[in-house]
Amino acid sequence: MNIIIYEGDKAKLEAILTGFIEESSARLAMIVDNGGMILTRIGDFNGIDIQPLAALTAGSYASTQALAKVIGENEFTGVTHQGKRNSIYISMVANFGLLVVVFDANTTIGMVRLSARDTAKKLGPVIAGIISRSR
Amino acid sequence: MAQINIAEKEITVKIVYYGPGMSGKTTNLLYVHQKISKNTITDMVSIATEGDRTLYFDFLPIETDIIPGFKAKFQLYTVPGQVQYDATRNLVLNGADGVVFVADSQWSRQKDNVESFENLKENLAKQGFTINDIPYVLEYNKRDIEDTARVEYMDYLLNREEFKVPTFESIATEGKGVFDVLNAICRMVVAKILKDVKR
Amino acid sequence: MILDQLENGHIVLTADYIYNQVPIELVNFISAEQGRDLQQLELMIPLADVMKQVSPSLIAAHMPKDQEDSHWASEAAAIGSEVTFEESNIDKKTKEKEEQ
Repeated sequence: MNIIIYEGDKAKLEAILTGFIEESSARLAMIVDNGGMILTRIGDFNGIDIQPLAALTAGSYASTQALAKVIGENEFTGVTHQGKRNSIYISMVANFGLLVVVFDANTTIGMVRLSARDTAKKLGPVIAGIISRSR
Repeated sequence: MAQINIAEKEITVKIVYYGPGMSGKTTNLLYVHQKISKNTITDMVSIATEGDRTLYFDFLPIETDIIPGFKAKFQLYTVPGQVQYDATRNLVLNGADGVVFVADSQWSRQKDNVESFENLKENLAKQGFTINDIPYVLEYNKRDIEDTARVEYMDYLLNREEFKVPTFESIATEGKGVFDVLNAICRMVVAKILKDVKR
Repeated sequence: MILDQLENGHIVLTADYIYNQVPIELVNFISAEQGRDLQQLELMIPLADVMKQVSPSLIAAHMPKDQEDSHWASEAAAIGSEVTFEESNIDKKTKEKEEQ
C-alpha cells in the first residue's frame, strides 16, 4: 500500500499543526509514519536535520513500544525525551503515525501533552481519509 | 510503504540493506555517502556499538529528480546483522519498499547467508508479505577475498525463489558494484510504484 | 546426504556415514567434534573443499526449472537513466578541503 497525499490533505494537516503550535507554544511539530517518512511539518527547524529527526523518532518510538510489550504493557502513550534546552514529545496518531513535537522553555510538557491530545483527535479523521483513499 | 506526496511533488521510498553480520551493509552506505555526486547535503546517521558494529540502524537519505519538477527520495537503511538483534531488525524492516540483500562471499559465511535470508523471509511474513511481493537484489560482496564461493553456488543458495532476481558482485570497501546495486534497486522500486499508481 | 545439505550453506555428516560411504579424500579434511556415540558424532566438513569437487553443471541442474525472471527488474530497465545516482570521482573529504 502506498500513501498518497494531495494538496487538500497537506492544507488540512498544516492547518491543524499550525493551530497546535499556536496553542502549545512548541517550537515545531511534524507527522511521521511508522517507517520514518514525513507527512507534513510546521515550525522552526533552524539547526535541525529534519530527515534524521524523523527516522530516529520513528525508530526510537518503535523500540519503546517493543519495550512496553516486554514489561507486559500494551504501549507507552506519549514519550518524552527531556533535554537542557530542547525536548521532544512523541505520541501515536490515528494508529498510523507519530506526532513529533520539539519544544523549549517557552512552554511546559504539560501544555504540550494537553494540546497534543486535542490535536491527535483532529488529525485522526484527516489521516484516516488519506489511508482509506490510498488503498 | 511508499509515500506519494502530490502536494510536494515527491515520492519517498524506504530501501533496506539486509544480510548477516559484517557482510558489508554499512560499508555500502558509507561509500554512497562519500561518493554521491548530487549537490544535496546528505547526513548519514549511524547507531552503532563502540566497535562500529551496527546496533540499531544506519540511515542515509538521498534524492534525485525523476521527471522535471518531481523528486524521488530514497531513504536507505541498514539493519544490524548479528543474530541476537532480530527484534530491532524487524523494526527497521517495517515499511520497506525494496531490499538489498548483502551476502558475504566467503565460504565460511555461506551458512550465515542462508540463515539471514530465511530470517528476512520470516520477518517479511510478519508484515504480511512474501519475498515475491517486494523488489530486491542480491549483492555478493567481498569478491576480493582469496577463495570466495562461486557465484553459481551463491545463486543456488540465495536465488532459488519463484522469481530470479538481479545479482551483483561487489567489493564494497573499494566501492566496486555499490552504485550498480543502488541504481538497480532504486529503479526497481520506482518501477513498482509507478505501476501501482497506474492501476 | 551431502547434496541434500548443499542448500543449507554448510554440511554435517555422521561418522557412520563417513566410514561407510564417503571417499577417503573427503575424510582427510575432517575435524572432529566432541562425542562418543558414532551414530551421534557430527563432523563439520569444510564447505569449500566439497564444492571444489562438485562440477558447476551439477549445481545448475539443481536450480529450479521453471524460475521466471523478476518482472520488476525488466520494468526497471524502462526507467533506466531517469533514476541514476552518479559516483563522483572526487570524494567528499577532498571536496570539503578544497572548498575551505
